[in-house]
Order: sequence, then C-alpha cells, then structure tokens
Amino acid sequence: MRFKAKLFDVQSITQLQSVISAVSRFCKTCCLKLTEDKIYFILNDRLVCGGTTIWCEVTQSSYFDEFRIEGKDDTGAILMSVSPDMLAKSLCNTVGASSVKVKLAKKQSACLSVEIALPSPGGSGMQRLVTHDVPVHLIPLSHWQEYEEPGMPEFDISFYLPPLRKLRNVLERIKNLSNHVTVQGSWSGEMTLSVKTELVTTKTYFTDLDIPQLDSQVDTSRASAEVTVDIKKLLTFVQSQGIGASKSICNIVHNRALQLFLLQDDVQLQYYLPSIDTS
Amino acid sequence: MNCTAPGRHIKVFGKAITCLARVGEEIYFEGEASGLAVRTVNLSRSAYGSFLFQTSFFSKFSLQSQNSGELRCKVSAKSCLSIFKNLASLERSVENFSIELKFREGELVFGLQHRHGIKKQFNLTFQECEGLSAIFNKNSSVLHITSNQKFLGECVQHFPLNVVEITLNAKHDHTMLSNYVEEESQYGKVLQTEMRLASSEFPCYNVSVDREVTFCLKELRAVLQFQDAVAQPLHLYFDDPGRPVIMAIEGDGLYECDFVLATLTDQNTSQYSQSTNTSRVGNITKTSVRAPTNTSLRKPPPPPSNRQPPTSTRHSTNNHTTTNRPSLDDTLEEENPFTRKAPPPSTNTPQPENSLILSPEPPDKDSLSPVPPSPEPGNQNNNITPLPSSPFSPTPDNMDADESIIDDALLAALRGTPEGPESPPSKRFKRLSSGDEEDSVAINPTNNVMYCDDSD
Amino acid sequence: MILCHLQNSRMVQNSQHIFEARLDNVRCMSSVLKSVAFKDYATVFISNNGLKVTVEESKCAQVNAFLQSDLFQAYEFSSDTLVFRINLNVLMECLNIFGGAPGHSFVSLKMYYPGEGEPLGLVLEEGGVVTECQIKTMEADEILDFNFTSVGVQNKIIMKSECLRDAFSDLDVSSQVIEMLMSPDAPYFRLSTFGHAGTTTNEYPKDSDMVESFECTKTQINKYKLTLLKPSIKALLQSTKISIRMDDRGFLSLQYMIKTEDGNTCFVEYLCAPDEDNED
Repeated sequence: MRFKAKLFDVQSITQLQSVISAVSRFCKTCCLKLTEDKIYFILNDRLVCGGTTIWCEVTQSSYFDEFRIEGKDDTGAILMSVSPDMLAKSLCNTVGASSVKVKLAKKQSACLSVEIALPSPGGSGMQRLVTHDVPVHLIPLSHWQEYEEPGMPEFDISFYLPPLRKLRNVLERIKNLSNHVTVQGSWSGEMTLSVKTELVTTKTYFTDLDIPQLDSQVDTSRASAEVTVDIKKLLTFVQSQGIGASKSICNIVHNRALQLFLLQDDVQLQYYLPSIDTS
Repeated sequence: MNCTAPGRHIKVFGKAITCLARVGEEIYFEGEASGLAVRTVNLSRSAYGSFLFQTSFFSKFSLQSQNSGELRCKVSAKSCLSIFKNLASLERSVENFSIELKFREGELVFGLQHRHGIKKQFNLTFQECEGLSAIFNKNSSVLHITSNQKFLGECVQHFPLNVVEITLNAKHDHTMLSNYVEEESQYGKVLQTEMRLASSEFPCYNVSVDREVTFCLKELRAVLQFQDAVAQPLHLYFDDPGRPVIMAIEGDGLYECDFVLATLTDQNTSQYSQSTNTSRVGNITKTSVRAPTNTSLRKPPPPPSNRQPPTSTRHSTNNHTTTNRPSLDDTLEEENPFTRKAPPPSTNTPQPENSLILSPEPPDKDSLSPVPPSPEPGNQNNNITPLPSSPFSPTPDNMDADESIIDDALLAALRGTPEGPESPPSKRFKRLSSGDEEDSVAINPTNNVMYCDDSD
Repeated sequence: MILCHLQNSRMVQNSQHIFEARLDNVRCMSSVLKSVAFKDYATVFISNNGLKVTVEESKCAQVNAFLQSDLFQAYEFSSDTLVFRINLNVLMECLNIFGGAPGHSFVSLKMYYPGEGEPLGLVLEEGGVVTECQIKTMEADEILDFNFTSVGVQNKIIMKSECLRDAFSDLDVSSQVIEMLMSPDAPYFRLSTFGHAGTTTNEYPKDSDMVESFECTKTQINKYKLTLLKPSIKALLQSTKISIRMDDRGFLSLQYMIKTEDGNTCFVEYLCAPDEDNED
C-alpha cells in the first residue's frame, strides 16, 4: 500500500484544514478512507445503539495537485483510523507554505507524514521544513464493511437550513437552558427549535426556507415532523459552517432522527443524529 | 535596597517576571553593586533563570546596606506575577515604579505611580534566603547559535502545546528540532514533529561538531516569549548531552538575561520525578533526516562515529530508567539513594574546560567561577565549590559510592556569599523524590554539607 | 404560516396583560442587567416608573438595576406595584438569544406579564426570526431595606469608572476584606486588601483628574467582605462613572452610571454593610 500526495496552493491547504478541523469536533478518532478520487472521514457509531454517524467526502482533485495511491490488494483503497484533531493540528501552521506533502509512512509505526515547506522570509531562497508524523492504525480488510456509505433513511420532511450563523447563536444560548431541543419542520418551509424545562419554554421560528428538489419516491404525506435531539451534538454540526458550505439541508425522520448535510462543490458532510429517547 | 525605574521600562521588567514565573515558584531579588538581580530556579532544579537589571536601568538605585544578607529575599512568583498582570494597561499608565526591600519589616514593596496621581503599592512578605546564582561560562560551550527575534519563536509554534521536551540536533549546516518522546509506548500515539532549519537562517551559527541535546520546551517557550517582547537576539550555547544549555539575551546595556537548562543525558537515573515521569530513553528515529530515502527503518541508524558514547548507549534501550531531566544541581542528588552515576558521557572527551560549574572538574578553572571564594574544600562552609571529582561531599547519608562522574548537568549554582557571621546551613535542599525535607527549598549555597568535602 | 403565529396572538394587544413593554434594541436592557447577573435568582419590581431588578447576597449586600419606563418605546402598566422572583440566568439567556454581541442588527423585544403567578413572556425578533419565551415566576421574598439616605452620608466621591477597573479586577482573592478609606486628608481615598502574599493598596488623590467631585467630611475606614464586593466589577465595567458614598454607619453605596446603546442613562446601585469582624 502506498500513498503520496502534494498540495501547492495555500488556499487549498487552509480549506482542507478547516474540513478536517470540523470533523475533529465530532469525534476523537475516525476512519480515514483514501481512494483515487476521494478522501473520506467516517464515523460509524450506529453499532452502538442510537449512535451518531458522520460521513464526510472530499473530492481530492480540488485540493491536491498530485495524488498517487496504491490501495490494499485490488481494492484501490486504504482505510486507517486516525485522530482528526492531530491531523488538523499538523496542518494549521501553514501560512506562507510553498507546499505540503502527505504520505503514508512507517516510522516507529504506521503514520501519515505531513511535510510542510515554508520559505524563509527575506527571500533568501531558504526553506524550513516541518514534518509531522501523525500516527495511524491501518484497518484490516475484514472490517471494511463497517465503513460503507450509510443508506438514506426514509425521511418525512426535508428543507434547507437557515443561515448557520443564526442557528448557531440560538443553539448556543438554549444549550444553557436544557440538554435537548425539539426540531420541527414542515413542507411549507418553516422550522422551529423548542426547549421546554420547568423554568422556561422557548420556541424559535424560522420561516421562508427553501425546499430541496425531491425525487418522486419521497413520501410527502406528513405535513410536518419533529424529533428531539441532543443540543450539543446539533451545535457541533452547526459550528462546522467554517467549511464554507454553500448549502445545508436538514431531513427529519419523525421522532427518530435528524439527517443533516453540508454541501459544497467538492466537500460533502453528512451527519446522522438519532433522537433522544425522551419520555 | 531601594530602586526606582521609569515607566517605559515596566514592560521589560514585567515580561521578565512573567518569564521567571513560568519557570519557578519563587523569585529571588538580590541587590548587587551592579544592579538588581531577579532570579528563579524550578522545583526540580533543572532550570535556572536570571535577569540582571543594571543600575542604568534605574533612575535611582541605592543599596542602603553593606550586609548582603539584607539585600536579598525571595517571594512567591505568583504574587509578583499578579502585580504585572495587565502589562498592556500598565505600559500606558505607569509613570514610574519602585522596588524597595524593607528588610526589617520583612517586606518587599513594589510601588507603581500611575497617571492622574493614582498610586498603587504592593507589600509582599518575603522569605529570607541565600543567594541564588549559577556559575557558567558561555565561552566554553562548543556550540553557539544566535536566533533573531521571532525566528525560534515561530519555529516552536509548530510544536503542539502538550510537547514537554524538545531535542535540538545541530549539524554543521543545519539544525533539527523535534519533540522528544520519552517512552517507547508513546510511539503510535503521539504526533511527532520535526523541523529542519538551515544554518544560514541563524545570524550566528557556530557548530563545529554535531551535537544533540534534549531539554524542556516549557522553559524555552518562556524565554522565547520574553525575546519576542524585547526584540533582541537570543544566544544559545550548548555542548554534550548532559551538559546544560545556556540561553542569553542582552538588553542594550540595561539588563542581561541568562537561562541555564539541564539537558537529558542517557544515563541519568536520578529520580526526581517532577512533572514528567520516569522514562526510558528512546531514540526517535528521525529517519527523514538521517536516511532520507529510507522511510521504513525500524531501528535507529547507528550513530555517526564521532558521536559521543551517550548516543550509542541510547540505542541500547530499554532497561535504563531515565528520568525526565537531571537536575542541574546533581550534587544534591547524592542524597538520593537511587542516583546512579552511569558512565559519564564525557569519558571519552577530554574534560572540557567547560562551562558548567558543576563539572567534576577541579574547580580551579577560573573560567568557571566568577566567585571569589576559593574552591578549596577545606574552606568555610561558605563556598561554592564546584566540586572536584569526588565531589559532593560525603553527605550524611547515602552518598553514592560511585562517583566517577557526576552528571555534569548538575549545575548547582549557588554561590555562597561569605557572610560575616556564619550562615547557618539553615535550609536543606528539598529532595523531591524522597520527600523527606519539609523545609523550604532554599537553594542554599552555604549548605555545604553537600558541597563541602570532609571539612565538616 | 400556521405554526408561527399561533403563539404570537397571545401577545398582540391583549388587554388582559397587566404589564406590556416594547424595546427596539434589547441590548439596552441586557447590558444593564449584565451588571447584576451574578446570582441565579433576582426579584423584579414593576411599577409605573419602570423596572427594578434586585439581587441580594447573604443579607449584607444588595444590588439594584433600574430600567426607567422612558427607556422603552412602549410601556403600559395597569396595576399596583408588581413583585415576583425569577431565574436571572434564564432571563439573560433569553434576552441574548440571538447572540447578544453589539454591532449586528438590532433585536427587538416585547415583554408582557399576564398576571400574578403567570410566567413572564418575552418575544424577541431579529431579521424575521422570532423567539418566544415563557419564564416561570415565583413569589418574592422580603428584600432588605438598607435605609441608606443622603442625609447620613459623610463622604462622597464621584469618579470615572475606568480608573478603578484595575483595582477591582485584580482584587487579591486571598484577602477576606477590602478596606476602604475615605478622608478629607491624605491619602483621601484608598482601597486595600490583605492577602496571603501581602498587602495591596490603591490610592486616589482628591485632585486627580479622574475624580469629578470630592466631598469628604470625616475620615472613615471601613472593611467590607471581598466576596460581597467582587461582583460589583460587572457594574463597574459597564459604567462610565461611579459615585461612592459612605454613611455614618459605615454602610457603602456605590452608584454606577451606565450609558445604553441608544444614548439613555441607567443606574445600578450597590449597597453593602460593613464587615463587623474586627481583627483579633
């Protein structure tokens, strides 16, 4: 198995770093899957009853100038478990970098070796080379089926989320009032966030939301649907706006789960958040 | 002792205090003829920092006493720090500030005169103490590099905050900085970072032999933060592993800053456990450096032939218990029954007329001690005796028989000040590992119980 | 639009509410209340003149924030004085629900109280997004009357808040008390703490240009529990000026002048009894 890639554009480096940084807020360890076209960050907690799932897909050619992979056997893929936080940290001091190279290496143990070339200021032509070896654990073929793309559950309502910044402000305040929030949406483009405790009830109304185009198979018989989820987990998703996503979509599976998508041209982040078993 | 300095100097002073407070828990203030010395040493005595503010730094400076015992004290670093907490606002509003040692009242008084007539005063209770100073000679270090403002500070930013120790590997045309991993079990779990810097990046790069030294990053960061604030070059002097690293900044004739940090030796087995745990000396294979093309090396490559023995023994692995870092004043350590003096790194090298005091060498090297008292062991308790090879006085107890080499990382510093009436060897060094001394830790130079040879 | 406005109708022109008020910029209210938000619960008084929010500590200190009725764009009150107890943390979170940071678009507030025992209702709006809150109210306990009158005042100083900020932010918490000296003679005004590490003093001369008015008739030195005075830093940070008064019993009154975003002036008052424990 071999993997070697290079980026030369600082803008891409920063963007990639913010994607990885967003993923790192969800989990301490996740599966990194490398294939010829895409890079995936996968967290599959569904094995644990009612766990959350994250599926993040990045089109590598939008970031890397060179990308070479020799996958495991004939699969064309390499899967490894890694700490996204360490990976994000290794990419965070890249201001002014002329190149970033990433490769799979074996030093004391398997690692992703990130090499950053920083030209010295003063134009002397000198370079400072920083190498970060991020430890990884290769995932054996036998476990790969745990990291398949999750199927789309049948949802009851789907809509585009309001600007994430607004959502974030509200969630940040109401998280101090309660641990759970009820998200309700309707086909008429309305969404509410409600919190109810002994001391207070609050309800926030977002209106005039767009509805994504659906294929005909979607069952639109329910006028509205709702689900109660953990506020902090929802907030983590909403804070990923740093990715610079152009669209974000919310699907509600009535009383079962929220499925959230952040979409950009070359990045797609899917987040599945199950309902809290209340009452 | 009473001195006053203009408000424009408060930033440097405050930054110096902040820097020292990051290293030690107590700050020593000592009035000397040349100025005010402000110093600290960390708990495990593996890092020593000193700022000497010359009389030119002050608008008024007077010692007011002939008795040097009345010219010094130590106070809690935290209380000092709280005085200079908000430097940005102090810079704007302080017109002048003063430091007065009121020996009889037991107070060290800081006075800050602000604009608008506002006056603040901090009366800190102090503890009496003996002088604290390290003796070292930069000129005898084998390697010297200078870094401009911000350069090293920027480099160090690439290392995550949780990195405890950093290894500096200087070769004739480049230097590598890498995080030091103590235990082999950590490989595969921690992020390993390495940085390669060309020698031409340093205004002065005087590296005649390859050397690799490992020392605490926390203290380096503290010094770099100070350097960044004052925008002066930083000089680094170092030598073999085990010998301390000296960092020096000169402040335009107004002050001098010196830091001495112990470095890891391979066989230092003293048990100070301090913040870091006992560890094995592993070797980080920087394969990308030494063997650039071979990325699958599992074993460290054999050391270059001109390397010091320590390096090779390093690879021998696992059975050595090594500690984080040796204390600078190893001398103290002989009290520690666990101290094992392993074959010194320097066996093969001619005993360097090297810097650090504590060297097992005969103290007659005048390069060593700026301090007057003769190193004669027979002397009064008041001398610092950079000990001769059989040093460290047979201390009361567990003097370790095998003395052949004391870790020269022991910088014991302590300059005894010959006082008129004898200085009671009042305070013993606290032995962190055995923990039996409850007393406060005066770095007691005159406690020659340790130093002195059999004269007691 | 069904979901949305069902609730709103409660609010609109409901003549059953004994109290209704409207504010175009909620920060005018939240910035003032921030100064007193150091305890979980507060007592709210509503009258024709405006709102008063009171927080007490250990029966020795009391803080009052005054939001006069002309601060509001609309203020209707049809009852005798109303008093209730409310969770202040919750109230602050609700007032700041759209973020609370100044500089962005305005958040408008409608506040209403249907009647005794009912929750306090808030409706906040920013750019088309509406949040409704119902906060539980409870019966209020008696609050202290410090009986602090201008007649008893022996020493009074008015000064700019900024010069006291350092002194209050850096209070040595290892000191049990703050000692306050006010005197017609030097050092005029002095704050001191006595902590583990030593003594800290701050002196302000009467002719300092930070002092706007100095009327001290008698030397007074009193100590106040540090834990009681420390929270006053919040009010100090929001305010532009502070008036410090000490009466003949040694009681302290600190009055803070706070300017709101729309140029109105509000007041917060801190009352504190002296610490009776004398050194032994």
